[in-house]
Amino acid sequence: MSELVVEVNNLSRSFGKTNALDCVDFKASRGKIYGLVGANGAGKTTLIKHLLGLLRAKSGSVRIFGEDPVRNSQGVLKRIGYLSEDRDIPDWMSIDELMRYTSAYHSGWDQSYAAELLNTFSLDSAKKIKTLSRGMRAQVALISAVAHRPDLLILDEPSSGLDAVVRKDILNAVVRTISEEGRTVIFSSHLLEEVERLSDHVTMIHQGKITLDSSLELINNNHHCSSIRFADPQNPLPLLEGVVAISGEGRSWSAVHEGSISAFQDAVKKIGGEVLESRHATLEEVFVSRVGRPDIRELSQLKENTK
Amino acid sequence: MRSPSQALAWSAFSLSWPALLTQIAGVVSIIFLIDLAMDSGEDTLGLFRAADFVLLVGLVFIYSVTLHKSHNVARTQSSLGFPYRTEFSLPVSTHTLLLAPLLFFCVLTQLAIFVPGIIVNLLYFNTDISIIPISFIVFQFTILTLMSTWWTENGVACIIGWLLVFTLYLNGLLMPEFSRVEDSWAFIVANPSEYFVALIFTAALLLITYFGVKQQRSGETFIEFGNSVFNTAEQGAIRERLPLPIANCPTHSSLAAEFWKERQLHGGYSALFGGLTGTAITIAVLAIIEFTQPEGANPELENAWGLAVILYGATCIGLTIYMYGVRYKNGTSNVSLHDRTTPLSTARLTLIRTGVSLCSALLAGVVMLIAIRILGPFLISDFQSMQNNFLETVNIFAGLGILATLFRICMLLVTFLTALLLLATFLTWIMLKNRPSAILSVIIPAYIFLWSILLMVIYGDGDAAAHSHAISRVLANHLWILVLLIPVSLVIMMKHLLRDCVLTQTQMVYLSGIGAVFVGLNLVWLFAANNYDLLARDIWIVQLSYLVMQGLLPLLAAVLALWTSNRIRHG
Repeated sequence: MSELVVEVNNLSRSFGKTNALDCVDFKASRGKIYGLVGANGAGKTTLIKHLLGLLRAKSGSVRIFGEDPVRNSQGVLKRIGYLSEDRDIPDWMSIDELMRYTSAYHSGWDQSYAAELLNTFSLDSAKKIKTLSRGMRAQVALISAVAHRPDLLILDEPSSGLDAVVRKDILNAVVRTISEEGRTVIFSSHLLEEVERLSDHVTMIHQGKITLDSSLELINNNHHCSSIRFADPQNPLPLLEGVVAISGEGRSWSAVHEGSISAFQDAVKKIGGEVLESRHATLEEVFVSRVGRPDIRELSQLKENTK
Repeated sequence: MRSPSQALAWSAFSLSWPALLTQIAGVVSIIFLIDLAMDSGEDTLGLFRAADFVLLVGLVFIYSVTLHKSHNVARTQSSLGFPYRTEFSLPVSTHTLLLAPLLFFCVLTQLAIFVPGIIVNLLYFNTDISIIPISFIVFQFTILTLMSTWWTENGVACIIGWLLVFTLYLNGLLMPEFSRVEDSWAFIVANPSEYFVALIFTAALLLITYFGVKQQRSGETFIEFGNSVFNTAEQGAIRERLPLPIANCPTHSSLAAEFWKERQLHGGYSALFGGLTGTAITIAVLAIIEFTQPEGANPELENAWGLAVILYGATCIGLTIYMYGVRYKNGTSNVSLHDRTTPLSTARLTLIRTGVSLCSALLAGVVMLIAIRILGPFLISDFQSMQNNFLETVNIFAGLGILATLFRICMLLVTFLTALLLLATFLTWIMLKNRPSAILSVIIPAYIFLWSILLMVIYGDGDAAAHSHAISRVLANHLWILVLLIPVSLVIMMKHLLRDCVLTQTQMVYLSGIGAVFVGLNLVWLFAANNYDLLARDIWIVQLSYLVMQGLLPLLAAVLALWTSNRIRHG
């Protein structure tokens, strides 16, 4: 088994009456890219803040490289590269000053790599950060986060507000490189296509709870989207084993389900229906089926009520 | 809403009516309590003066609350200039945008003075009120304050504007000269045409304000320099704008890099700028007073060095308030994630950040002292007597030997830095937790006020000895709270610091040792200098304990700074 870089056990956190995290378990191994997916306010940033030691674990535990990120913040932060959602870097510095300032904290700072990235992104190091566009700012923040070749790179919504070109620059050129060097990347994103393209492992978080935590391969193999047709209108639809979400009305229905297609076809046949078409569900379909609006999750609700 | 101005006025009113009601109820009930304590049947004049004071405090209260609320809602970028920038995009004319809040504030302050004032007058005095003079004074102070603040985003222009208003005021061009009618509460203006003159000058200033706001609406500024430098919301503006060399960030160690960063933000250039600005304002104000007032008409001028002290205090606050990296904007506090994730231990970060800010505060004082000493004689003719007066007031080293002088300087330095650190930490917590801070800042004075009223109601002035004894007992009991509060809070904070490995046990022992030395030195100082007239008094145990705790304040300030940094960093 590979070495654990991040180990979160039974972590809970409340802000007032809101449960931001509820008994969260999360583990990340060396050399993999972890996509953290969830709706706004799901708890992704709260989890990331715990990983960085910006919030103390009040219930449960957080270990980064086997260390408590609050008790040994200096040791842990030296090995982490972090890109915040707000691209929070000192506005008043020039790019060069930021590079020099950041390099002083990291003995492993790779000056040639930083210069190469500055060149790739066509950034003028004499420019003040406050004069940069949002995209350029994100690029600068990213360089300062990766040029010391961190063991763990944490990206909070790295693509938020960026155009396609910058997004591609950032994610392809850097994330993959880091990962191929045997380093770990955790990134949260709203863009599920991006997560699907880059991640080895996906963790879905909804209302502070982990609803799905699995390798992307397993998620792809295990989730399908099927179109079903019945001879007579069905209202409500009888319960089907393995269905995560279902939508439709009358005779035509569409379901996202777990397990093999053949088992699902048999189950549909038993209640008098027919599976017209089945395919692997996209990550977006899996995500929406698990955290989407109630009308889409009709069956899940129904199951809950029956219990 | 039938018109944009009504909508704007409604928006302002909806934010301020609870404060207005609170102010009216508060003022009337406080005056009622004072009346209970004072036996106003015999002392109407005393009650009237108290009522005057309470009304003024009430006015300041409502003014602060309303400005604070509108600031939270409206202010988006700079801390200077017209605050309602978000309304620039509304389809209304600039004069509506300007006049709606301006007139609203004027009406609000009139209500805040007259509603409780009339109620109190009917209840207790039933005398003639000089409605027009009072109304005019309140109107002028409100409109002039707002216009002087709103008319420009430019820091230099803003200061010049204030000085201009001050000059006009001293010349009687913005406020008539009032005199009290004999045997009456009422006061009048000897020459009613002065109202007219004041209104003409105010209208001229209003016109300037209108053009200033119009300019801000179209994104223009007078000159770029002051706009950036005096905008404290923008980090690093001073080093960028001053024509002075900027050192390169060192890369050999994280400590050196962090020290460089702090120096850029709150270091020597900030101190130089703060000190010189304080000096410029001091000299400008004194020069204006000197040129405006006829010679000999203002004997208080020699005490005017106090203005320099006040401005130095403001500079110190400006230099230290951001030492923890907390900024307050649009009603919420904000700490940069970049700062919080700096890979340096909390203890070292705190040491560098507080150290640089405190040194800058000291440096600003030195700059001010030198600059005033050099420039003063050229610009103020009466500078020598002012300097003599200052030296007489602060001469606490007379007759001391070298060692004693050094000791006293050290103790004063420690006391000053402790006070500054505690104040900066306190202000940081106000920014972080503004609602609880506001509640506390109301509860504590209210508690003290109610005790004093209670004692006065019980004892009055009849039995002075019993009254004095009761005050001593109340004081002693409350001193116990402080005596317990300081060590208990120290222990709790130290436990937290050990838990989070901010300090090791050995470091904690060293820190406590240094704290204990300061306790001893403080006691030596207090008794040797006979501070608080200690030698002549019977010292209670509680007072002695309190003095010991007072010696613990430097340790408290240091531990509190570490604890605050740790809380800011890790939540």
